[in-house]
Amino acid sequence: MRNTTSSNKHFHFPQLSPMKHLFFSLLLATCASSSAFAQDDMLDGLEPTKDSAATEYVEATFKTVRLVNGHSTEVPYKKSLQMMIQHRFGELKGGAYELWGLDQAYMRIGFEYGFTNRLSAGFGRSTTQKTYDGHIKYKLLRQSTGKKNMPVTAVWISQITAASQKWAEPNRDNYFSSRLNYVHQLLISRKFNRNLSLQIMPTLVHRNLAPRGEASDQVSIGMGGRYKLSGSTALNVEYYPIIVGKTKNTYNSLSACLDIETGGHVFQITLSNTTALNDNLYLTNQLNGNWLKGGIHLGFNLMRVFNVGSHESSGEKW
Amino acid sequence: MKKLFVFSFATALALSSFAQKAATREGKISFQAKEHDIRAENKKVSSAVNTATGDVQFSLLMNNFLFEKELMQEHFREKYLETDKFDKSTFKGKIQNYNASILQKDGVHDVTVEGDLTLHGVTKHVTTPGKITVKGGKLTNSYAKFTVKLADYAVKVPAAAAGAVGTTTDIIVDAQYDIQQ
Repeated sequence: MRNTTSSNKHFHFPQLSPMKHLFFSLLLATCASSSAFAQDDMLDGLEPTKDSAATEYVEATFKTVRLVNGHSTEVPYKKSLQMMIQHRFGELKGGAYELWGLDQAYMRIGFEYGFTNRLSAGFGRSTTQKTYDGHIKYKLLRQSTGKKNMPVTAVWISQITAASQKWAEPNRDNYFSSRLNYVHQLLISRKFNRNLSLQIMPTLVHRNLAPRGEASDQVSIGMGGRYKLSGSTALNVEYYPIIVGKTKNTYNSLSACLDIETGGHVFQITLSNTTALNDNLYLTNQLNGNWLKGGIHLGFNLMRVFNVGSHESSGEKW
Repeated sequence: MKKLFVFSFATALALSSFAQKAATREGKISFQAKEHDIRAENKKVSSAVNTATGDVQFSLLMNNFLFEKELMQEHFREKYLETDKFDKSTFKGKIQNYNASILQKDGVHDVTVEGDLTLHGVTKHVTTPGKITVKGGKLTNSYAKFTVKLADYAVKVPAAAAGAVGTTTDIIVDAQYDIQQ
């Protein structure tokens, strides 16, 4: 219906028929929704995207550089110093009088330093046989997805250990080289998901002077893994069955531990059939007890990381 | 009726072409835990401001937060922020009481920004004072500094680590808008 008033000083908004009303409302609605649409789409085409050409390296396969007694495929980061104080106690079956073994303590103190994110070296000293040990650890392969697909992490470790107690028979011809033992391992691990990582450790131990009747060279295929129980805790298991040169009537090394991680520390509360902290001993079943007959020992590893030098993280991992 | 049609059409056109945007893909957001030597920076933040309406958006990938200390970066990703599960963090909000006329005044202007911050899979409404820089009729920079409580975003810090990590963190936003539309 048209406005037909003649004296028209003001603009009268035209009376709309229902059709035109609808048309105009729809148009307004479209404009309104298109500006709201623009808000959601503001970052359209600008969203940060993962570079599909990049390689994503798996991190934190294990919480620290040790599985239980043996090494894990973790290597100290570049310019970080890993310090560890390890204790193993006497047999649990000693009961309350022996404080379940706590009265008897065997200890190792060790340091490991990362020269690069791949290469580290370390040394340590244990009370058992007053042994000094040194090693070099090198990360050969790193588990990754993306441009470079690598299903496993592989680390090589070579160690020398030297027992330093006085000779049992000082009047004999004793050679320094008799004190030396060598341990070589290839550690291969895979992080399957955020909770489960598994590791296999073919190992060779060579003892320059093995106890009478025992083989100088022994080969074992270690196996183990960890299962994360929470963000800060994990359960680790480690077993080293000797397949070549095993001494009769000895027990393979079998251990478990609970990893507890705090800021810069990882505490590992261990249960093991050995008091030995030197690889040359427990990997050859020296001093290993029988799990089934109470030859189990409580212990702990206290692992601490110090950052020695600071450096700009480039986001690259090698 | 033709007048009405032309008028409506012109309005529609004007509204759709009016949206102006200041954007960037290289904004910087860093965080610093209060009283602790924990800090990291993300230099690949995407951000956009609708300079007509004052709507603001930020989006970033959590794995682009780089630390000087790699062990800290590993913990950040694997334990605290679980970046394998929650790989992105976003902010969608607006500048309060925004008027496009602010673009006529060169300089640094104090504003208040509010909106929804999504972090570690949790969305919370936040309000913070901030600053925007206007130069030559363009919005060139946005800046804000505010504090968040880790617990608010379901970031679990076990008691044993609380002494080393703390319970709150300062977040500093600094986006230079190099893409102007």
